[in-house]
Amino acid sequence: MKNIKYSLSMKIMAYILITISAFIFAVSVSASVYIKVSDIDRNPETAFFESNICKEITHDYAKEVYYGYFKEYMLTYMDWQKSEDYKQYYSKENTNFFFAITDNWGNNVLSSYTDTYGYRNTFVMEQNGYTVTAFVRKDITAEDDYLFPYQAYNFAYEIRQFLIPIASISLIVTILLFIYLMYSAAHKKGSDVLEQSFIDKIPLGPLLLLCAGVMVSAHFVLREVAIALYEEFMFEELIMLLSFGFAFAFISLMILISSIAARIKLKTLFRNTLIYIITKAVLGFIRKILANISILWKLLLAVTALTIIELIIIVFFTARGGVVPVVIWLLLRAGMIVLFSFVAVNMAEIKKGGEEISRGNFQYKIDNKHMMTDFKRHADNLNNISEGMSDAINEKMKSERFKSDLITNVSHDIKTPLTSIINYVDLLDRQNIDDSTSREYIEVLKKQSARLKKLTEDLIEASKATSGVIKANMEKLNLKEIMNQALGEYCAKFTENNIEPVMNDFDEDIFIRADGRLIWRVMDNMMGNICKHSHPGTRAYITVEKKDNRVNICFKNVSKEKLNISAEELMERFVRGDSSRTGEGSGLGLSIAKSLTEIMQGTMQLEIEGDLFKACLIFNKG
Amino acid sequence: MYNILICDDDYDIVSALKIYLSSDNYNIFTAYNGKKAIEIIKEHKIHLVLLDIMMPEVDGITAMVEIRKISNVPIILLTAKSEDNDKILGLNLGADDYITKPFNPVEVLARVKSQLRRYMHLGSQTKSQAVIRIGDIELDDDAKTVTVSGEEVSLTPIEFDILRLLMKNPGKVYSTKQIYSEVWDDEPYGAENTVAVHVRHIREKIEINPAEPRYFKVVWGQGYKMERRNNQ
Repeated sequence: MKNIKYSLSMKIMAYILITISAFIFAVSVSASVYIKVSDIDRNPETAFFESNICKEITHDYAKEVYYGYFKEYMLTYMDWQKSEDYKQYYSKENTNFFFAITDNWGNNVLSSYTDTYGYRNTFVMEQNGYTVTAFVRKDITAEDDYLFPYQAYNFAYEIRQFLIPIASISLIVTILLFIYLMYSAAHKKGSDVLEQSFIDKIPLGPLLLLCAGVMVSAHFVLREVAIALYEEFMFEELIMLLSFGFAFAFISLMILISSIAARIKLKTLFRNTLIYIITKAVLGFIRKILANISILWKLLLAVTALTIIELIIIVFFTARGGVVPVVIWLLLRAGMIVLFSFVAVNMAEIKKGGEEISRGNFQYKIDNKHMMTDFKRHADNLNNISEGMSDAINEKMKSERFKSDLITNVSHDIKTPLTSIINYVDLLDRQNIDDSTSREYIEVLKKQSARLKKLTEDLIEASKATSGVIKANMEKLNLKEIMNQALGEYCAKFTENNIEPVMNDFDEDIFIRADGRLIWRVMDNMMGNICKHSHPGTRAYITVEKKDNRVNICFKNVSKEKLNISAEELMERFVRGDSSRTGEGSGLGLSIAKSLTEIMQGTMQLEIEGDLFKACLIFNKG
Repeated sequence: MYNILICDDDYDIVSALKIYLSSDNYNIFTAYNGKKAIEIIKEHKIHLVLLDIMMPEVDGITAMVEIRKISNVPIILLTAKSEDNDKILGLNLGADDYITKPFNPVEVLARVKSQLRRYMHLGSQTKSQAVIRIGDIELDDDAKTVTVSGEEVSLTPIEFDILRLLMKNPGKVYSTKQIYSEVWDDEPYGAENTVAVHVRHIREKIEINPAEPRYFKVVWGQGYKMERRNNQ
């Protein structure tokens, strides 16, 4: 249905039909008006004979008789042959017109076919003492000029009662077709989108001019021809000509209107005007120039323009004095203030955005809806940067989490076989094996499987600590209590390793903000490190200090191994795959402690000086 | 002779546990998936279940929920997962204890013993006013003795006093300072750090794994408390 609805042939048909129906409407309306005006409906018998057209034809025929037949008759006393021709010409069969010419005394001089059988309309022409009386036969049968108008009158009379229905129907049809044409404007066969036809692409102004020009010139051309035809009483040709003219004018008008409808639908009514196109092109050109010159040039341009205007005021107006130049100058200043405020506000917005981004808030978006030109671009750039950063961070977090999940899952899978290894090594150990070599081997197995167990556990913890899976439950904690508890837990180990822990005496009311369980994991690692790596017989110093809003907890011990690597390497040793370590433990302890400290919004710093190892934890005061 | 059911999909782990537990004179049943475990519990009188969580077909948690519908036998979960959430989930769904892989065989034995004692002997003893019992820890204030899973532990007088203080008010957190002033009956002038050392010693004596205490808990930055859990 849709396909047929908007097809070109359908539209052309509609144009033709609407022209016809509009024509019928126009004709029937003018006919009924004419019937009223010419009294056809009340005096159908005489209406034609009293009409102007009948009188004009009669007049023409009378003149023809007088200047032609009668003149010749008087001058030449016509020969018989000629007289017969005239008689033939004015015979009943040839013409509906007949006449009688009388002289001053009323004597009949010449007449055509004077049987007095029913006549009407008389026409009297007096010339040189002769009177021409013209008649029209009541029953118009002969084919002369009378016939067509007479038939038209009769036809009008006969169809008079149908005229109003015809007019109404044709009007309805016209309106329906009009609606269809308006509706189908800009639609195309087999397409749901509105499209411009080639007519719609012509700018509105030229199109209007074209239509008007076509109609005006057609009017002038047709007018002359129509007048000529009317004077010759060539009615059939005249009607054809007028119909053609009507159709021509009506179709061009319809095309114009439907094009306007299409424009309204396509919202190009104003856009497709010459003024709009030219203005747009000019503005686009100016914008392009502005976009390609730097902000400095824009500023210089604006200042120069202002200066020139002010200069003009000074030079031309100040001499004459008065208020006007002052007012203009003040208005200019006001404009400048508005401009500078706009600049300042935009700058402030952008500055705020920049600060937010530098602070790490990548969710912040600079609102640049009301900004212009360079500011808008600048704000866009900043927004893009923060978006990119936030994407990168999210991506990183995702991959960290993925890594953590991977490590955790793999570690879980390692744990099951590891359980069996540990258990069976233990069972082996319980056998009564006397062979010293076997015992030695079992010891190695025990030690290494224990190490593997520790390694897997640390690996899980390290990956969780760095990937942000662990969430800190921050509370206000008493540091003295924590340090005492930690030292108490490690008391036996310190003694076992022959290390004397020394803690400074600090206030009892030092509180830190941290997570109780996590801080124990950190302390556990720090103390464990001291026990593992301190030189036996030395002291380990633990100092707690309050500094502004921060609290420092420092651990110092003398290493029993040579510390020939940097603090950074010590902390990231495992990550970097450096395997140059000996002894127990996974080497992940410091890395875990660091990550956990950072989760609690603290920092960890390491220092190595010769064999002196110093680790400091810095927490926020609670 | 107690009947213990060991359920794990790893054959070697089950065998090792069987060896350890048989040596302590337990009668062992084995299952390699949750479905089989439930069947055995329906057919036999089982006194304790060691149940792995990650198993094919019916996993440990589902099996435990099923077992709990028919029996209140002690269940100790065995699993490779060591996250706190998993532990809490397991305990909330009806487990009595939790051991993470890889485990220490001695610890498994101790926990099995502790659970069995609680399950079999609870309520059978005459209670005197002077006896405080939390889980399988029993403190007799008259005899000045402490027993864990029925075995007497020797505590120093200070350790005994600290334990008694905490057991009298389970769930209450005591700071080192409070413990010092209560037990030593003295003003604590920097001497309270000795409390922590004593606490550690007590835990080593009464807990199966002092690093992961079941009863005597460390509240970091605040003090110590006796867990109210399993208190009858």
